[in-house]
Amino acid sequence: MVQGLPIQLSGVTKRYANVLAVNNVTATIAPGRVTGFLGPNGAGKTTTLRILLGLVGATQGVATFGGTPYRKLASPASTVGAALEANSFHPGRTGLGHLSVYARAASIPQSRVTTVLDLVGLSDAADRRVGGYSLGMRQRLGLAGALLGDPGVIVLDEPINGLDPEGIKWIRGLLKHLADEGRTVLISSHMLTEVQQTVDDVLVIRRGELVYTGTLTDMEQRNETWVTVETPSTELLRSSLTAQGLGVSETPEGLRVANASAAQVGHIAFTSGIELHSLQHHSTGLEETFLALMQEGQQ
Amino acid sequence: MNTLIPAVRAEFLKITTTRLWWVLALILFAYVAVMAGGIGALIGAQETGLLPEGSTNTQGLTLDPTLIYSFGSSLGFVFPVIFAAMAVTQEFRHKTITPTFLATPARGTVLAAKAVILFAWGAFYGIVAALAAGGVGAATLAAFGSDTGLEDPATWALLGRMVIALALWGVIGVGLGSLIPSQIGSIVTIVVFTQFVEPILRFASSLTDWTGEIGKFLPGAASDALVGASFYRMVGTTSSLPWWGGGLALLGLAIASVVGGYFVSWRRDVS
Repeated sequence: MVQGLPIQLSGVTKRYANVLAVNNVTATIAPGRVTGFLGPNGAGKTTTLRILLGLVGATQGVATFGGTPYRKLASPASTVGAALEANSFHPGRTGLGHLSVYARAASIPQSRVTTVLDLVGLSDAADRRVGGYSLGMRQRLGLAGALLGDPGVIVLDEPINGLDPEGIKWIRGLLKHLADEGRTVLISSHMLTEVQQTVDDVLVIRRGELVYTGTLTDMEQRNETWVTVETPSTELLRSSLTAQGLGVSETPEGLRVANASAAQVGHIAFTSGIELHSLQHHSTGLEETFLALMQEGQQ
Repeated sequence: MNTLIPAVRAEFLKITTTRLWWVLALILFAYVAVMAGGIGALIGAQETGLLPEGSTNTQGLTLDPTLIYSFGSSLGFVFPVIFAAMAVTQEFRHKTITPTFLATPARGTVLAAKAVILFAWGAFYGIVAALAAGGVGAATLAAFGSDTGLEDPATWALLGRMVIALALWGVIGVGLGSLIPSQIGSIVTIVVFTQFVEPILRFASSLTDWTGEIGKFLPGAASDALVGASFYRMVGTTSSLPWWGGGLALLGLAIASVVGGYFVSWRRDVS
């Protein structure tokens, strides 16, 4: 039975000589869901993950798995599986050799090595040296390493980077499947579009600070919407809309009505007896909402 | 949960899943065999009168079989040091220190496991070196009908102490690799120190009695003292520690370098 523990970050802060790399990050990452940890390169994602895994010491704050810091876990590899970079391999070691080393260190039976190689589709390349692997194959090997201990929590740094379209489709399915089994899945990415179809929850970090925590659906609600409408009676429609408290501006494509739906605008025109030539609903994409978060950093 | 034994087993597999260990073993064997065979042939030729009287100038040195056998450690010790240092530095170079610390978060345990395995691997190189020096050296001497000294238990004890010396050098390598985590940096330091700096210091320290008392604690001098024969000893100018004293000096250096390395590079953030 898979036991997914919540990941808890509370007040995690990392200060280097004169840079605040991670500033007071507090969040809970729930089991049974895929959580995307998003932000531009250098925002502090990798540092936060390394603090979480006990590789980097936090200046302040604690990061735990169900209340226990990584380095205090009784059997870390079968509680948390992590892949942090696509090139932490000895190039002269085979894929099989690499996994065997870490299976031994974590007292995981050798049979499990064969299982995870199969799971990530590397069985045929198992006896080849990692030096000859493509970036996509290294990603798969890193993922195999994370899955070695059949852990309830999976932490992956930029796992989609370097995968071909088929690989991306495959990993999306796998991550969803792992979350559906009740595991906690945390993946980082610098591109929302890359993980948009995979994640349920989102943490957005900008310059070391969390600027958004919530579900992807809630984030979509923040998209800006407007309606463009064309009419021969511009002035009449403008005054009718303004009378209803809507913000109207004039553009070459017609009137632009902010934060309104097409039905709302159409109804106002109809009740005022105004002729319309076109009526269109617009919305910014999720990526633009994400980029706006990146720029403004508003909560 | 005790993680030392799994960590030791993982460290063993790290070595056998890469090629460096047997490449270095072959070079070590060839190097020591050529030197032991060459000097063995020189002694043999001299003793059997193949070389005309006075054609070799040994400056009053007695060339004897134990000098040849000691090549195993006096020339071979650098192999386990470099090998062990690389076992540490490649973790940093190839970033495998990340999965290593994820699998075994107790960092001191990982370092202890490395020290244990590289002690064992140093002993393996010691056996290779003893085979090359004792085997090829004695075979060459025997071919000329010279005395091989192999009937003397003291010769076998010398070969045994050679294995211990190289095992301790393996642990010193773990310490040096941790003190200087840059792969190039640690190899260059080891080669320059052992091949140039220390020989000069040993020679210079032998010029006066009181510096000689310090010089006998130099790692190479301690190693030669442990083994019990060396070129320097043949020259007879240097004072030397007793064999057990040399062993303790090497052991002390091994422990000090590993502990120092732990504080220098093993507790740092891994990013």
